[in-house]
Amino acid sequence: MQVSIEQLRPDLVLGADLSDASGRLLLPTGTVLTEKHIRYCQMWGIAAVDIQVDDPTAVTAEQPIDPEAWAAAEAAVAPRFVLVDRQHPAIAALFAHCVAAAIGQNRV
Amino acid sequence: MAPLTGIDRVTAAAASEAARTMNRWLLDALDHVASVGVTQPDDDDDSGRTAVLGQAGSVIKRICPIDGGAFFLLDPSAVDFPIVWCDPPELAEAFQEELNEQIADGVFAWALQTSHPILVPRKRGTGTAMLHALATRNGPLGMYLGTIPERAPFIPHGCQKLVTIVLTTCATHLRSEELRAELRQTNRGLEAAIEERTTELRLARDAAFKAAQVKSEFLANMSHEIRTPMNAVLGTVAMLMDTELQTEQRSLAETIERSGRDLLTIINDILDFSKLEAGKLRVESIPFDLHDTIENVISLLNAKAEAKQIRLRMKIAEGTPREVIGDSGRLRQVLTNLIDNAIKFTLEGFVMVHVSPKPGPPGVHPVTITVRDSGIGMTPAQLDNVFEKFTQADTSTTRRFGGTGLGLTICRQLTELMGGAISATSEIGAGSTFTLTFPFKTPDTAGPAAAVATTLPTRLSGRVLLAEDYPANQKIARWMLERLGLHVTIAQDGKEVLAKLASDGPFDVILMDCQMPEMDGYEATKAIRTGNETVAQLPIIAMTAAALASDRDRCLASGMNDYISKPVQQGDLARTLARWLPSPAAG
Amino acid sequence: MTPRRPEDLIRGAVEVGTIQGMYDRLVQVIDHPLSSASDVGRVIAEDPGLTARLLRLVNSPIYGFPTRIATVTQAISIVGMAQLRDLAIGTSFMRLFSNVPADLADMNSFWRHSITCGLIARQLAAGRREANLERYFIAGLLHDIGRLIFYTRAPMEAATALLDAARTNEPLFQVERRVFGFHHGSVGAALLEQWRLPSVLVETAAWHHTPAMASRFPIEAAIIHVADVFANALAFGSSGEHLVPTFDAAAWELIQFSPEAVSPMLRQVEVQFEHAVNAIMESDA
Repeated sequence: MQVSIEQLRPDLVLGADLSDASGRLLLPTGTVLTEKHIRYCQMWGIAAVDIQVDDPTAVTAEQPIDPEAWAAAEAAVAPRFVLVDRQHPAIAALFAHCVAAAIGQNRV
Repeated sequence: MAPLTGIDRVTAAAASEAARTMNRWLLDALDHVASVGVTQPDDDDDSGRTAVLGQAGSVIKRICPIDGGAFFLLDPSAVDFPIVWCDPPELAEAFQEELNEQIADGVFAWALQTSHPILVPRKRGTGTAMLHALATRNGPLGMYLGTIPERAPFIPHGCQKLVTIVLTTCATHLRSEELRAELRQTNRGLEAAIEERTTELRLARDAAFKAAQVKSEFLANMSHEIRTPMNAVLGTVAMLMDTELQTEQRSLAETIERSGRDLLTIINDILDFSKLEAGKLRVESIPFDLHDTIENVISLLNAKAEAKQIRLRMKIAEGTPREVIGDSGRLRQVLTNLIDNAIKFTLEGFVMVHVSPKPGPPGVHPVTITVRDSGIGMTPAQLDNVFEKFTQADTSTTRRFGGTGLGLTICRQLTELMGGAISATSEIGAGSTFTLTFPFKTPDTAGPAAAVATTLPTRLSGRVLLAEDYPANQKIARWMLERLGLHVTIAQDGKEVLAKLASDGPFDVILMDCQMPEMDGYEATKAIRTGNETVAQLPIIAMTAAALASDRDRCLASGMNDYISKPVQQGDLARTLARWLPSPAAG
Repeated sequence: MTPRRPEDLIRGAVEVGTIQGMYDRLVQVIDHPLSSASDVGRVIAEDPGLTARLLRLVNSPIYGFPTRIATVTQAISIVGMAQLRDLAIGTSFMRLFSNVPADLADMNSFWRHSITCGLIARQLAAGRREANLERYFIAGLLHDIGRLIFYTRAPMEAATALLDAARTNEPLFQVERRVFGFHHGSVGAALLEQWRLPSVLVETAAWHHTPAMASRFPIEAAIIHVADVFANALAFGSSGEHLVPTFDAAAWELIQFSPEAVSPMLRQVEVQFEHAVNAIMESDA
């Protein structure tokens, strides 16, 4: 669960590794937050952190991706990628991002 | 620093003067900037770091209108940027409070990701705070906080650029310091790893030594365990052959005797080899009769040669020294091995032993002994390996002629141990020649003859106390001793030795088995030497199957006078006893 | 008759007017080491539209500075002088094009593509901890500016090129090369050079489709190249290219950006995008 820096309070537990913008690890998963950690987040300009949620039902289950919708989005996005190599890791990441964005649009 | 004015305020008339001022200022400032990190910090991390920070702090003070400054360095383990330097030092708390406010306000985070000075109003007190990250391309290392008295200070952007340069230089120095510290750490780690590895190796080496020691102890024990019954077998056969036997029976007894001796030779080979491998074999340097020794070997092997209808001939050339210093036993062993081999590998023809003197430096009398045969010979490749361990001419040789394959290896090692050299030539089908050369010394002083047992005594007289726990060996030893004309009393162990000394004495000599139950030979010897004066000086001769030189040393150290290796050979026994018994009454 | 050189196309193409003067004075002030934030602020303040635009920009979530920045002087001390100068120049020059035929190019879409490219370039540069991120933003903003010359000075050929590209599934810049003898990169570079803008902007515009050709600023060209490919894929707008243009894997190698970071980076750009559009495109009135 994403919690903004203003809402952070001691004893919350990090649900994911916390890194700065350049990927430097600041605090590892499972860190039990203290005032000092919260101040550290402020120092690094962290806007929000991932917090473990004790109550599993509170976790908003990720919507499973509908394979058909995904395929349809891929088919829609693919024609614009004819000039580039979709096997290239950067392009593959770009393509996946665009397909996901296309599905997001479909849901709205 | 000269007061600075914005260019808008510079009049045309003052333009050239301003340009000169600017030039001076710039050069001056650049001079300051260039000094950052010039003095190399020493190896002490903290003081080196503080020195660089202090330098940077004072340079910034010279190029900017700040009245104080502080450095806060990232410490990920402390989850903080603790203050590590400030000027003036007494304001540390004030700097920390100001920084805390800037953290809460988000300015700190902003400055941390920015590479120019951030000028914001101070939260505590009036004036302006200048924040600047201490960062390299790898990321932030810390934060600089400077305080400026004015609310809206005039700081030329050239100054700001210089501050950036100073702090970037400083960060680069800190980073390289960090890297150097890491390097040192790695080096220390490496040293520790090497140390650990060395310890492991030392332990492994010690373990290997220990294993070698255990092995030689084991071999010594094995040799004891095997030699003791072997002694009994050979002794019993000798006794048997001394009786009236039918021809067939005598032939069978001879077979037993021959096989027993072969087996003993193999055991001795293995034992010698392991002793040589362990570097534990020592050779003696005592005077002996070279001619007798060689003749003795020939006469012992004559029967074997005759049995194969091979002529065994020997020639000792004129001028060959008779009395030399060395290890007669080991020389006998080497010669026996070579001649025995020659007989073994010769199917018909001859084995010729030739002994001749060689010129040598003063005091040295080199002697060459060649053993030539008309045997099967060796190919050059076989010849190359002939002194290597466990090799015979080929594996089929083992099946055809037997043996451990250690004989020649032992010969070479023993020869070298005695200071000599061994070589071989051969022609397949025509025969082989082995050549031994020893740089013998001769006894310089007069009267060596006394020390050299030139003849084998056949009759001795005296009373012998025989300490031996193994019944078969008691029987054999008694038989051998009585054949020499000696009177024998037997003790089962060390305690009985002491008892018999008191009750059955006087004795002329004690033959002491070292390994006995209750009280062993060493203890018994000590007890005798420290006990009753009448027996304290009695000659004691050790008999032990423990054949290592160290055992011999132990015997002598415990107070014994001499040493006979088991299984006891009649000749050895006679020779040794002759040294300690009064000469037999003439006639 | 098709003009033979990019220079022929740009001659008298754009009336730079007061902007050139403002830019020249800005450069003069900033190049003087003893000038300060207030000197720069005074130059920018002469253009109230620019002042408002810059303040909108630096107060947007792109920067996320915690407190409101009220003056240009303050903006300079927080964003940086060189950075603010670049923002001032870039956003001023981009506004010079008002006579683009609407049926040929949707100016809104054109600048949306350019802003996307600028934001991605800025993020890619941030990932490399480059010092002046605004330089990359502006390079992205102006990289396709040559196309606007095509649209205003040679609308017929430009239309032919657009139609040809749509028909053949060829990248537009290659069709341009066939039609004009050079593509928009060369024209944009010539224009920026004429305006005496920093040479890094000239080179990134010239080689954003073929970054391997950039000799002085290879990293910057590689970043703009990748940003342009990504921006075309996101398609928040278009400068005419209807396909994701050809991608130079060597440029990707050069900028050392992790493929895993692509999607998070693009999501950040998506968040910043509308704010940037509002700050830059909003009427200065």
